[in-house]
Amino acid sequence: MTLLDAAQFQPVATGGLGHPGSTLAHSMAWFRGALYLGTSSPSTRGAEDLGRIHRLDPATGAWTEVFASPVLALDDRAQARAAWLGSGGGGGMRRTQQTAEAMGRDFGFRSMAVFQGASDAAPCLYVGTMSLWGGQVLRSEDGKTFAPVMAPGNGDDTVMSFRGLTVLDGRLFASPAGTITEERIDRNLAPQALVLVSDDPASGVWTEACIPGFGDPVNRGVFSLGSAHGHVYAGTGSPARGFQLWRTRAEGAAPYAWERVLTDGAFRFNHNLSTAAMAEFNGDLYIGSGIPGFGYDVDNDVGPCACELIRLRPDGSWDLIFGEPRFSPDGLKVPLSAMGPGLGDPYNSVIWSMGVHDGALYIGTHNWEPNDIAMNGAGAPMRGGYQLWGSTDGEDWVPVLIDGNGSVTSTGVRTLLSTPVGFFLGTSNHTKLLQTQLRLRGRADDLAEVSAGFDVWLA
Amino acid sequence: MPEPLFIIAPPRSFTSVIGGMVGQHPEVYGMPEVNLSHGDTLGEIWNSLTAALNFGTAGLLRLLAELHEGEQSEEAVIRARHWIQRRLHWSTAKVFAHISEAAGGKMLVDKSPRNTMKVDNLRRLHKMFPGASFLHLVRHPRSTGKSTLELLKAYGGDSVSRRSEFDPEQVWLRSQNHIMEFSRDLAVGQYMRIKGEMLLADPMRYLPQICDWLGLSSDPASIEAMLHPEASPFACIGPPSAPFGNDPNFLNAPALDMARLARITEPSLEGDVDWRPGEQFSKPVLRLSRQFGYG
Repeated sequence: MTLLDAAQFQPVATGGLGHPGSTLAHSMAWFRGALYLGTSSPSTRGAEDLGRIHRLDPATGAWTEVFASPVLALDDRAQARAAWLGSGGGGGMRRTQQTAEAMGRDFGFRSMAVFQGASDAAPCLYVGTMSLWGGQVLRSEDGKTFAPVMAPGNGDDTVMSFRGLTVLDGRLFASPAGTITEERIDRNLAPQALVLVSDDPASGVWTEACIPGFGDPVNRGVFSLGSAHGHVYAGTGSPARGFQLWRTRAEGAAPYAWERVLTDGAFRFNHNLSTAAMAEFNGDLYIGSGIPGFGYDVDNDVGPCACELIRLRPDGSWDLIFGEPRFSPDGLKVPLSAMGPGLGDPYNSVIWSMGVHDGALYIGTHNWEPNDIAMNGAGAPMRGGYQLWGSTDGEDWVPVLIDGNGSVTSTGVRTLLSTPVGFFLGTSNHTKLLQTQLRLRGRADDLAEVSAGFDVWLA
Repeated sequence: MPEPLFIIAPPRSFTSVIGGMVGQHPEVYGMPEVNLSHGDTLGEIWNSLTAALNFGTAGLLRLLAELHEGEQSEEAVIRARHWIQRRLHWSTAKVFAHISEAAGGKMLVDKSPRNTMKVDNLRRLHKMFPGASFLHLVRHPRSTGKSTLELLKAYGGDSVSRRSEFDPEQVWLRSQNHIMEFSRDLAVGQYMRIKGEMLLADPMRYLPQICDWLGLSSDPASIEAMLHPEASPFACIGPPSAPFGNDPNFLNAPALDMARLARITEPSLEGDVDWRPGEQFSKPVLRLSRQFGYG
């Protein structure tokens, strides 16, 4: 087994596929012999900035926009909610300018899964949405038409989105993420920390797979879901104590019996505020942690700090792969990779994506060094950007792509997907934010020529 | 000489008992509080230490007496004082080297409170010992503050604790901030942090981990030795001119009371600060406390 190298990555989509406001290549799935890409415009300001689903024909390399969110008129309530979207969601800042008259029902598609429910004649593509009117799950049989199979917010329209679509034994799991009301936005914490499940999403029936917060009020949200060795795993977020990791075999009727396998941020406490990405590799579950954004939780004054990677074995024992060495009730934990938090880079705030391809595990980071340089660099040249690291054994890690692969405004690897035609990587692009940060310091020319919108690379 | 271990913490953070435990490992030499971090020469340090109750000087005097003569009699301490006064020009590093040689080349363990009073003190230690290990002991700010006030009441004539500007919460915060700032520059694995409450409630779980981190044997005999801090020659009241050199409460009762340790609990961060009724802990203290695992 060998790792991919940088020269193998070729761009297959740039500039948000013609939509500069599409800053996130947010979700991917391989469905009916093609790549499906869900994109998001998390700071949408009008009807142009909406969620889209694109299809890449592997034979021709041609992209087709197969679905764009329907555009809805904003009533007063929706206007009040829309005013929050440019705020960043932390520190009580609210965007003040006039919002648009109409916006996409969905401003993003943050999760995808291919799943065959009880009444599906064939595997369907399911998509978790982000919406002012309450997130939903969409379903498509043919990859062309997408229809909701869930009431907005599953009955609570302040639920901003659904993420973590995960399949186990004929059931589809999802977790609500984010809260949006006329009074506030939180892009990660849902009104309740929950996991939902359905064995027949087409019927529109979703059931709570766990009790709220798994019965522990410190759990403020479910940040990621994954499956490994016959379990569904749910990683929570807690600004007070750090993440917990729970798992269930999903036997019997929901809500299922869940077992807590990690607590207190794996004893790094709240510097492991939340889980962010998970993947099964060589029979173990790898869990990446992080604090979204700049590694700093403004609302709760946690951080800044960089991410960690943890390996969980089926028996519940665990290793620290990179991160902060520590004593723990489970023994002395030293990073097996010999690297500290953030793979030794304090700007790697989150492990934002993971993928297994051709016998190797890859992790993609969110890296906020460009933002720091823009805000505090005192004229220093812009540098930084996302990193992609790979390992064939889960312990020895090498950088595959660094510095946003040549694009300093590409701050995150948001999606990784192994497919029959290769390994896809989708980015997050922060051109607008960086340009604003530079303009405020009289350095607008530093990023005058760069493009906006996500990129997709194939290796 | 092997690189030393520095146990760094604000005052009243279980450093005496935990330092005493670690110091009893057979491969280690546990020192009393030698306070050798706040100057580059022995003279600079010695002349700045307060003579009151010999709190600052007793540790080094007792250590030198023990190392030079195998006893801590009043006469041996007087000779140690003379030894110091003839070597005020020595660099601090040379003093440490002398101690290490006299201690048989064992790993030195120091937990002097002066080390964390300034970040420069910590950096001076690191400069002398680039490969040293630093164990950061943390204790809940509420119990640390209460313990500080109780000690001052017992030994400080109550005058310090009654001063309106004295706030043990700020002492805790300043010291923690020094440690956190210092630790940012250390290599991965050179600095480790542990909650004292966690360690003391379950020493059999955590002492072997500390040994493994330091590269010391964690065999049962070594761990058993670590459970007896009272076996240290410094775990008692010293002679009249150097009575302390460590927490007086520890010196009066150095043996572990395992049943009592098992009952150690962590108080709440919520609610009024005990010594400032009507006020809560400050935001910086809450922030660090939660980072340390309290909440």
